Amino acid sequence: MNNKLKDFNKRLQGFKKKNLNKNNLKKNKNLKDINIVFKSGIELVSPVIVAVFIGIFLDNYFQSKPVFLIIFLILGFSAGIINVFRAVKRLGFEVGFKKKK
Amino acid sequence: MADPIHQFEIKKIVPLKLNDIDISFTNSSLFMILTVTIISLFLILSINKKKIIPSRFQLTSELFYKFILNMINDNVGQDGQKYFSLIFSLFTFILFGNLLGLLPYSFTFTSHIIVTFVLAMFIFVFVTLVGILMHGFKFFTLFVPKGVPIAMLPLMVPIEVISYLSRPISLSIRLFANMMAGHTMLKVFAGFIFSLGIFGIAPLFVDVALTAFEVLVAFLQAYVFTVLTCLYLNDAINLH
Repeated sequence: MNNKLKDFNKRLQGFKKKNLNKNNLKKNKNLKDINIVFKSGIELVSPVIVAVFIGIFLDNYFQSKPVFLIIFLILGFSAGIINVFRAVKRLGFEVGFKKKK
Repeated sequence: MADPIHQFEIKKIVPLKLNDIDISFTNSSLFMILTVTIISLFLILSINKKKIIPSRFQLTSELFYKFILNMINDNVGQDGQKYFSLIFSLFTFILFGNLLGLLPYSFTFTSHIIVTFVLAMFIFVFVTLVGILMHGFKFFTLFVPKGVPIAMLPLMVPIEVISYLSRPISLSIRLFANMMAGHTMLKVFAGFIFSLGIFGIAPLFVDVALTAFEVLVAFLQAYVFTVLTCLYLNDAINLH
């Protein structure tokens, strides 16, 4: 009886150890992946919104109607693409740059 | 069919006016106060009888505590632990608000962009102030990405500034859009149930599945909001 119990305890400990290491890593990674998917669409659009606001404001201020809007729109699109690129970089798909750490 | 947008309507419960500004007590404010009350009650009651071997009730609040602590340690590091109370209140407020909104006859205050935008703006201003207070003028090197040739800087700095300014917008739109889209979809499918008669059982099952999905979204959006706050804090505290 005692022997059986000890054996059981040993198996339980081993299983716990194995499970803990495996599960923790996997779960965390999955959550982060979903996080990036949810993020990227809005991440692409929101700089454009900001850029349009800045562009219209500057155009009103300097009376130069389409110039600043066009400049900032281009900058906004670029910022959006860079944002998504940075988000995807964390997944390990990166091209070119190295990871920080 | 019932109007699916009707649920987002703000109703005045106690009309109040300060000069010309409308500061009425609305159903939105009622549910915010309810959320805070529930959180406080939950936390106070669960750690009322502290034990070394915790009861299940005590374990739930310890779970919250550990979850946020791990999030801060992973994303910000030891220096971020000063801001634990902020991150913790933010997470519980959004999470309980989202979950409370899923109950029938309740109101989801996170489905209004002004609420989420104010939350995001508050974080944005706070993080910027933390960065400036900690690093002074050096904080603005955040806008100069590493490893970029000097010739590219006139182009890269405005892009960085724009993407920095877009943070509160992306933070607020994400939470608001997810909550509003989910709740509208629930109501649209619920409207089909009656109008289809006996075949209404199909949208009923869809609605059951969607409700489960909404619970997931409620958790996930609260998580995403707080994780992003942690990441922004990390940018401000540990300049690259």
